[in-house]
Amino acid sequence: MSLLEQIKESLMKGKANDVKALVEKALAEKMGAAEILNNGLLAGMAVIGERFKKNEVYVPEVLIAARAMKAGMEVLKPALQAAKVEPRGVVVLGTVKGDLHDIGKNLVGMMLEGAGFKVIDAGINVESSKFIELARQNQAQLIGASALLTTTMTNMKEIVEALKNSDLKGKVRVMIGGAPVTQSFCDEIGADGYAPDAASAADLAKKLVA
Amino acid sequence: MKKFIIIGENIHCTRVYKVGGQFAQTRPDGSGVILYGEKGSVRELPVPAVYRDGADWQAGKVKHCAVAVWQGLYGDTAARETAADYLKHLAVKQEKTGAAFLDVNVDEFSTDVDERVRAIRWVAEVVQSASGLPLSVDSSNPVILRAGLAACDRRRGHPMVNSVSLERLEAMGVAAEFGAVVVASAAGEKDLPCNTAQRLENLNRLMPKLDAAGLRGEAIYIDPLVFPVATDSENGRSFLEAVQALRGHYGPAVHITGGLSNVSFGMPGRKLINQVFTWLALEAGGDSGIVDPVQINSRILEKLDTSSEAFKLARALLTGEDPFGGEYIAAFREGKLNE
Repeated sequence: MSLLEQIKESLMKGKANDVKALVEKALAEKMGAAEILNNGLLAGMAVIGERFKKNEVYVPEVLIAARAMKAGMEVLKPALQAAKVEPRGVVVLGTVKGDLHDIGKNLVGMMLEGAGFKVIDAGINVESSKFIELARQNQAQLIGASALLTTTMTNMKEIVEALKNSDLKGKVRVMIGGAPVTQSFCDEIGADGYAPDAASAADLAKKLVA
Repeated sequence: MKKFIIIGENIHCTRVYKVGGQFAQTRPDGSGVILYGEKGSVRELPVPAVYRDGADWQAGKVKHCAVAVWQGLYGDTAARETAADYLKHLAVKQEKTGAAFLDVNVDEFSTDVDERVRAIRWVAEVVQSASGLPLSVDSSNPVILRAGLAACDRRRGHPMVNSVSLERLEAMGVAAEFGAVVVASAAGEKDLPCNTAQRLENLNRLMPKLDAAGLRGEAIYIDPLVFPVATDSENGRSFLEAVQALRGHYGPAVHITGGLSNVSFGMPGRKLINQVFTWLALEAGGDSGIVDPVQINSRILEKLDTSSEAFKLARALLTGEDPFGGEYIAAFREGKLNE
């Protein structure tokens, strides 16, 4: 098995220490940072994401794979910076004002990182202005907003409106999700995309920054 | 086994069936139906075009209670009757399997509050015409809580408010106004508790406020909040520890409940996990659960084989002794969890 294959396989099994050691080995062998990232780490997460969508692997398995990816990324980061490899995009992710739920948001964050995005976690109970401020600070292309309650999902509209009235209009797109959220609600408030689950959220984000 | 008070959770507009499965199908002419009833006398609830053409159906899912509510509000006479029959069927089934309250939730039916008010009124009327049980009105919106409680028949025992918490104190006033008992959740003002201590801290601040509103003892169903073990292996244990501490602190009168099936989100073999978690919650001092009484009731809990491999695996998962559920998932894949 090639070194990249080994990285991919170890990541899929969630073996963080192996992934770390293998990435170190790949760097020592002068393998390119972008290649290690794309054909090792992200390739492994892509398989996990696909299997998750098909119910072949379960949340804890996605969690440990993501953790293994993080371990690999820590080793790889300096090489990525030196080679000026940019993330696929920057996403500001948070749960909307009045809503304290973070489980779905965290799963989405994991899948986004697994798809090569840099994720700025704004946390829970996030004001619309805070989403926009963080997007500006981090030069994000995307805002991802989550809500689990019908009483709070209406705050997603505020984000879309506030963005429209800001200097980031046309530069930052908004994707939304959460149990009560639907495509028709997304259309109604003028958000740029809706994803029904974490794996589709990563696909949607890729599409929105393409 | 002591009495287990079930708050039946099945009449809930988020509930989903798989299209093409046992309960939801596409007919050759392209129309959709929800199937219900007993073997030999299966009845059909037609799925209206708005749902049939919606994204959920395309993705292979349908919110069946939401379909019934839509037909109840907007369908023709025949569809309205079938929709009512469908909800009555869900109500009776839960009463027969041992529910003490029927929880009703229309929050995800619509984003329009007025429409939800009409929905909760219709659901309350229909459900109460088929079952003698009190309702538990479940909403994050006090307007809906009030509309639901106003529609409750007061002769059948106290209705329930699901839920009040530090972040939703307004619901307390609604409960007091209508003489309802309450689910009192451990949510904080600004965040959800993530360990045992935070649960106790939030509830210890909420309880005096409930007392001041005249809600005490048996009128309170404490919900320490259940989170999935799939996302944090400690989530099961910290709930169970909170149950034990709360029982010790507040004594025998108060009820202790929880949305117990949340614990299995993201895991395979959910039914087993839910049953074992309920068993563990009762062992820790709980006496109630917001659950599906068809899957979890006293009879089923009494019959649980606590010496089985499956039970032990689920218990280890739920008490934090099987980090990331590795053992449990492996056993599931090997088919070891089916008795």
